[in-house]
Amino acid sequence: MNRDSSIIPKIIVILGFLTVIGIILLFFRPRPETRRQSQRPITSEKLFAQVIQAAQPQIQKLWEEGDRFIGNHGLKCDSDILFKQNVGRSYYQCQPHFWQCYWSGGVKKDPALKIEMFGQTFHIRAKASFQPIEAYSPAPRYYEILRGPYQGLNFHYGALIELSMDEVPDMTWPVVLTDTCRDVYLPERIYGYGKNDSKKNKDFIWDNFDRKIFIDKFYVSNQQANEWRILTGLPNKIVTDKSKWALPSLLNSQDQKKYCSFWGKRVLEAKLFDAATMTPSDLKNPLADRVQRPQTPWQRDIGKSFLGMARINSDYQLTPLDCQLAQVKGCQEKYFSTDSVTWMGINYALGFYPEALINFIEPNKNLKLSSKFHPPEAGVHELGIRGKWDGKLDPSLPVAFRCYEEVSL
Amino acid sequence: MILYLCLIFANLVYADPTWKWSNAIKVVEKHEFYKDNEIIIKPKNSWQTLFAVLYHDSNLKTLKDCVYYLVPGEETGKLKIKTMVAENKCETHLYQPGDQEWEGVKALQYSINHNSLSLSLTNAKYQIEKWDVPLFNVFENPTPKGLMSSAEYRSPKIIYLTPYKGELKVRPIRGVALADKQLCHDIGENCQEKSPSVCGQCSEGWYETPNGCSQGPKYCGSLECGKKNQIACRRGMKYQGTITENICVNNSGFAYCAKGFTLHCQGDLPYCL
Repeated sequence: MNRDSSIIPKIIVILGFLTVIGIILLFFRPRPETRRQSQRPITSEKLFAQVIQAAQPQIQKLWEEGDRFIGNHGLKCDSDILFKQNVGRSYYQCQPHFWQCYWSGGVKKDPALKIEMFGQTFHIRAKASFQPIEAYSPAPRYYEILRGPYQGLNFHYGALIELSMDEVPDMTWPVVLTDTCRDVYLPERIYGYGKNDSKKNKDFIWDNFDRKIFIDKFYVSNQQANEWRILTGLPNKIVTDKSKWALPSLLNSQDQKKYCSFWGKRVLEAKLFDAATMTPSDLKNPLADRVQRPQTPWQRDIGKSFLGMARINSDYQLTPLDCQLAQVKGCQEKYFSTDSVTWMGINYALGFYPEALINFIEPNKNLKLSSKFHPPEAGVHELGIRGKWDGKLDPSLPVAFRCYEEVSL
Repeated sequence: MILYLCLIFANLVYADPTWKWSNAIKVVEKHEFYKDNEIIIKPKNSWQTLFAVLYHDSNLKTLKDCVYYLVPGEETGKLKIKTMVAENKCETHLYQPGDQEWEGVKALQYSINHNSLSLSLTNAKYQIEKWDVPLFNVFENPTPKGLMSSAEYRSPKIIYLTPYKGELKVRPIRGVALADKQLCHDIGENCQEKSPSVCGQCSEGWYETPNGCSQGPKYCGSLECGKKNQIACRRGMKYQGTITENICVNNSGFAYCAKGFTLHCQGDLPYCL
C-alpha cells in the first residue's frame, strides 16, 4: 500500500516535467515565415518605378537572351531580322534587330511583359518612339544605338529604349541597355606568343597583369558593320541583304581599324589571339613556370585530333563533330556558332574565315590562315601558324576580323 | 471632389521628390559625421549638407540634387532640396532657397547603403514621412572574372535615365570626348597615379606608354608601337619572374620592339630603333 502511494506523486512529477518540456518545445517550433507584404505606393511615379524595377530581370533576359524567346516557328519579321538554321542563337543576343522584331509582334502577338504585383497584373512595353532607319524600313524604331562617351556614364555601345506601363500611361522611362554579350575577359596571367621555340631566348613570353582586356567572342558581322556605317553617315555602304547580316564583315585593314576604334576598341592582336586560344596547362596558376603552346585549342598534340588524322590518312572523312570543332573545307558553314569555344570564351580559334590580326612582334604575320578554304589535312590548321595579308579586299581571300578592348578605370 | 482628389494627388507627388533618384549614379558629398539612422540634433540652428544625389536627366546630362537640413533648435527644422549641375558644390548653395522645402520638421534621420537610400522625417504634427529609394544605377566596378564582358565590368547592365511624363521626346546629347593624344591617365615618376583614369572619355580608345610601372601613362588615340622611332610595346613585368627596379636602363624587359628593331631607353621611356 505504501509502495503504491509513493509512485503516484512520482508519476505526477514526471508528467508535469514532460508538459513543461512540451510547452518549451512548442514555443521554439519552426513556424512558416510570415512574408511582409509590401504596400502599393500611393503616387503613380513610385508605382511606375517599383514595377519597372520588378520587370528588370525580364527586360534583361529579353535583351541578353533573345534567342530563348524564339519558338520552333522562328520569327515573323523579315523586314528586320531573319531566322536561319545555320545561324547560331548568339546572333539574337543583345541584338537590336531582335528587339525591334519582338516589340513589333514578330515573336508573339502581345509582347507586353507581365508583372504580378500588389495583387494586380501590370503590362510593360517598349515604345516605338525613335526615328526610323530609312535604310532598313520606314517604321519607327523601338531603340536607338548610342555611342559613348556620355558624361558620367561609362559605355561605348548602348541601345536607348523607352519603357511604358499600360496602367500608368502618361509616364515613360528611358533606359540604356549595354552590350553584355559581345566580348569576354582575358584572365590576367603569363602567356606565350607563337609556336614553341626550342631556343629559349627566342621564346616570346609576356603577361597581362594589371590589364583589363576583353576580346570579341565572334567576328564583326555585316549587321554590326551596318550600324557603324549608319552612325558615321554612310548608309549607302550598308549590306542590305538581310540573309548576309550574320556573315562576317569583310573590310580592308584600314576600315577594320576605323570600325574598332569607333567603338573605343582595336583590331585583335596576334599575341592576344594566341593567349585566348592556347589553353594554359595549369589554369589555377597564373604565374606558371612553363608556358605551353598547344597545337589546337582542344588538344595539346594535333596528332590526336581529326586534323592530325587527316594529315596521315588521305581518305579521312569529316564527321559532324569535326566540323563543330573547326569549320574546314568540306564543312557546312555555321555563323555565330559556339560549338568550339576556347578556354576563355572566344570562338573560331581554327577554321571558318581567315582572320586579320595586328602583330606588333612580327608585323608581317598578320593573318590567321586556318580557314574553311583549306582541307582538314592542310598544315595551316594549327595554332600559331600565320601568314601575311596586304590589307586589301580580295574576293578570292575574304578576311574576317574582331576587336578587343582594354578598359582603364 | 475630383478637384480635391487631384489636389491631394498633386500634393503627394510634391511631397516625395525621390522617385527620380531611383536612377541615381552616385550618392556624394555625404555628411562627415552623421551616422546611418541617427536622429540629427547637432549642431542646433545650423544648415548642414546631408548628401547629394547624382543622376542623369533624359538628355544624359548629369544633375545633382543637394539635400540640406536646418537642424532644429530654437525653431523647428527645415529640409530643402536644390537641383544643380553636377560640377557645382552643394556647400556653395547652402544658404540659398531650395527648389523644394519642407518646414516644421521635428526630427530627421537617414541612411545610405550601396543600393538604397532611406530618409525619414517627422513633421510638426508628429507624423512620420518615410522615403525609401532603390538606387538602380549605383555601381561599383567588380573584379573581372572569367566570361565577364567589358560592359558588365564598367557599368550596370541596364542604365536608368530620368523618367518623364507626357510627350517629352528628349534625346541624349553626347558628351565631349577627350582630344586625340590628350593625356587621359596621368602616372608620375615612382609609378604614382597623379589623377584617376578618364580614358573612357576618349572617343577612339587610348594607348599606353610603358614605363616599367604596373600602369603607364595613357593617351587618347592609337599608336603603332614597336616600329622604328616609335615607343616600344608593353610586355608586362611579372613574366620575368624576378623583381627588379624596372627602370628602363636597368631592365627593359617590360617592353618589346617588333622583329628587326632594337629597344633603347630615353630616360624611362623605351623606344625602338
